[in-house]
Amino acid sequence: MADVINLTHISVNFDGQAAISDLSLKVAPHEILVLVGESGGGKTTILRTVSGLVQPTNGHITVNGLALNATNLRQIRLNMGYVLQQISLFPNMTIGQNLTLLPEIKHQPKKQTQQLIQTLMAAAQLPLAYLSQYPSELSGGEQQRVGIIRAFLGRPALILMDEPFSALDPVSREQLQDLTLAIHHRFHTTILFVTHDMNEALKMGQRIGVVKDGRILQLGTPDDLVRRPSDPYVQTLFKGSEARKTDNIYIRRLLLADFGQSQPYPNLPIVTVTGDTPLAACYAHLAAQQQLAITQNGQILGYLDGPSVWRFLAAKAQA
Amino acid sequence: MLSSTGFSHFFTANAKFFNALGQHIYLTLIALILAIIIAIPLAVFARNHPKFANVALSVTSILQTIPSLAVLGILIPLVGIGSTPAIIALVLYGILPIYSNTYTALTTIDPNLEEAAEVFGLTKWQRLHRIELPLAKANILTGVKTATVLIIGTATLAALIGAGGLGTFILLGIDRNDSSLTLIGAVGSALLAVGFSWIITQFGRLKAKGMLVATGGALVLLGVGLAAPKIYSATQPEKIVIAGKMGSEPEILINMYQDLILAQDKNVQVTLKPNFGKTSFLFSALKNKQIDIYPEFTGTVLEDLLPQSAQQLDNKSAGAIYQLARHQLAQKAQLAYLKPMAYNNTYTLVTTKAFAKAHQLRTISDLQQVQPPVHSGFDLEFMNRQDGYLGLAKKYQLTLHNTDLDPDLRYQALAAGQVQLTDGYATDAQIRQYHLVTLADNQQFFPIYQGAPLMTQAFAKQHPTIVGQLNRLAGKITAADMQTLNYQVTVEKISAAKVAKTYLQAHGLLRK
Repeated sequence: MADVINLTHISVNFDGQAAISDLSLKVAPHEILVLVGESGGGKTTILRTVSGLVQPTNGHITVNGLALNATNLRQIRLNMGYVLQQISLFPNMTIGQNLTLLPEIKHQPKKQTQQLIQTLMAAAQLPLAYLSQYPSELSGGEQQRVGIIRAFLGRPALILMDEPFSALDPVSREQLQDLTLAIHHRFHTTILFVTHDMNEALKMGQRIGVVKDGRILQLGTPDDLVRRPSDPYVQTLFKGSEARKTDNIYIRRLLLADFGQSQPYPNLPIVTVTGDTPLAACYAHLAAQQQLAITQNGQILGYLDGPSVWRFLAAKAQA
Repeated sequence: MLSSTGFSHFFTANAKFFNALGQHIYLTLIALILAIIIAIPLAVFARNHPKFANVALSVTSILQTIPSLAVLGILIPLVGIGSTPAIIALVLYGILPIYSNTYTALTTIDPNLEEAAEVFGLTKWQRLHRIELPLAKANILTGVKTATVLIIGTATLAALIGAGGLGTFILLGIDRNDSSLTLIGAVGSALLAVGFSWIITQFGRLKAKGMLVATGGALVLLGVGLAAPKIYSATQPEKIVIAGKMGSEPEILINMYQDLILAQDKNVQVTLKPNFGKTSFLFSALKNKQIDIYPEFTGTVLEDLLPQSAQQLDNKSAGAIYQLARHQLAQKAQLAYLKPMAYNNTYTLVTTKAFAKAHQLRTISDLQQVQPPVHSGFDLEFMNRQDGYLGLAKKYQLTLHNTDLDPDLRYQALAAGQVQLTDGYATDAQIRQYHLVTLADNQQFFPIYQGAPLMTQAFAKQHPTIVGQLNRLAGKITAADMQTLNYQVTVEKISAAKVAKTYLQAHGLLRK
């Protein structure tokens, strides 16, 4: 299947200063690709280049197989969701109007939209009564949940998220990360996600690109970055993350802390390990897109997949 | 200071009030809608063109600083008199607040929202009408409210150029020194402003669809209001329009003109436009054939309209002054100036009967011998004019002890004995009202102001019978007569039409 985003040798200059230098990146269908790095490193510029807000000085971009140019821009944008750090619900519209704006513009069937709104509102644990209220009547966390729902509602092929949770308190942040993962699990929408938070990157990303000085230093799975950093900067960046300190935790503890589930995950090959296997020994399986069946005395205690392990690590980091 | 007669006058004439209110609302609505139609798209365009935005802001601000009277004056030669120049001036005033509020509102929308809307794939038009204008709505409405108040206030000046409205009451009140009339006009327009603000606030609460319906409704009503008088007037025969300046005297005179014209030819349609305001407006209106006749003073012609040098005017008799004015008007403006009436409505010095008798005063020269110096109460303008006190004192070698007085108060001050002498016009009703006497200008210092009908030469040629009829007033009406007539209208509140007719009949100019 074709890449959803294909950046080829992209450069962006602002006032003669290179913000992005000769960067190439492919985002595969259905994946969550996280760009992580310090502020000013160029990760947001990459996102804005994909959304057409920034014109590359050099290079070529395709989104959903379409070259990003003036002719295709609107078509590309209509098939793209967008979540910003600053909550960008339109204050002149009710929550309901905010949600239906894009489906309306795209002439999506109203009934289908309404059903989807109900489903997603329920998933986000937002009461339907909110639909007739204005954004200012909701808390910041609730507003951003609506923002997430809005991005998925147009059923776009791609969602861009620019530090979507950075302005929120830790509890809301985690709830929204989970919500995003849950909805992604359902729709498999491709997401390009930008954050400066290593733990958020580890939790959300199926692949992570570390961005510094307008380049991608390393692109790989969370496990690659934590365990096999190809660059001293990447190593420093993830040294402080919980992953290393938790290398020796018994895998059993993740189940006890309720990060796994009692039923196997669908469509993932199962590898059986004992409960007292160190976490470090399990990463290879997870990176290979396998799930773990944890046994104790021949009994299966439960199942774990990659995202649930990273959720655990992220939770430990934030604790 | 409210006179109860003023109020009763108002209630008997409340049809006049509602007519003026209607005109005011009409002027305001049209001007407001046009200002909105111009200002909002201008602001929307300016937002994406910063250079244009600066230019537009300067231009609209400059427009705001031009005095409204000047705007009206500039417009008359271009578009004539009546509601057209009034509406243009009002629109010019209404644009700035709407434009600047809309522009500010549009340029201060959270850039994140703008960016989100753009990335969501909304077209420019969708962004504008679904997001930007709704977000700017509150500010735009504030601008519209400011514009409305401004327009309603400025529209009171429309009365000066014959567009009617509540300003008619204000100007009339000022002219007749009747504060209740002024108050009716002022309170009326203030209440109108409050009412409009309320309606705009309610309008702002409507949903988009309601707004469209309301706007559509207002436009339809306005269209009907506009079309109705046109349809009505289309069936009318040719009209002769006679206008007069602000005040009771011109109003009495133009009523006389009407009576005299109708006495000769019942089929002529005469329209009177009394209380028309400034001289210069009337003069341009006549030259532009917006009106056909108006009474003008010889002095005004030679001092203001076609100014002559001092030596040309010096020591000339009233007859010579009239001939000079007639000649100048014919030569320079192709206007016909009919024969003047008797009275000379010039500046005069006024004192009480008792004071005149005690000091044996009949002429201004007689003031020289009075000791101690006479205590005068002149208005500030008269005090500082070369053709007022400055020149007068030189010519008559007068030394007076003066207190500056407001023009409205000087007669009362004289009557109450607070001053012994004041300035006035020869035909002021108050001379009669307070039983005062005027001192003769025995050295002919003050210019001569004799009234006569003014019209274009073309009109005079086409209407010889009208010329003949109006010339019957030549040499008629003395200053004392005119004082009485003015007194009847301003103090006794008898209508100018009735006063005019009675005088003509009493003097055999009109059959009973």
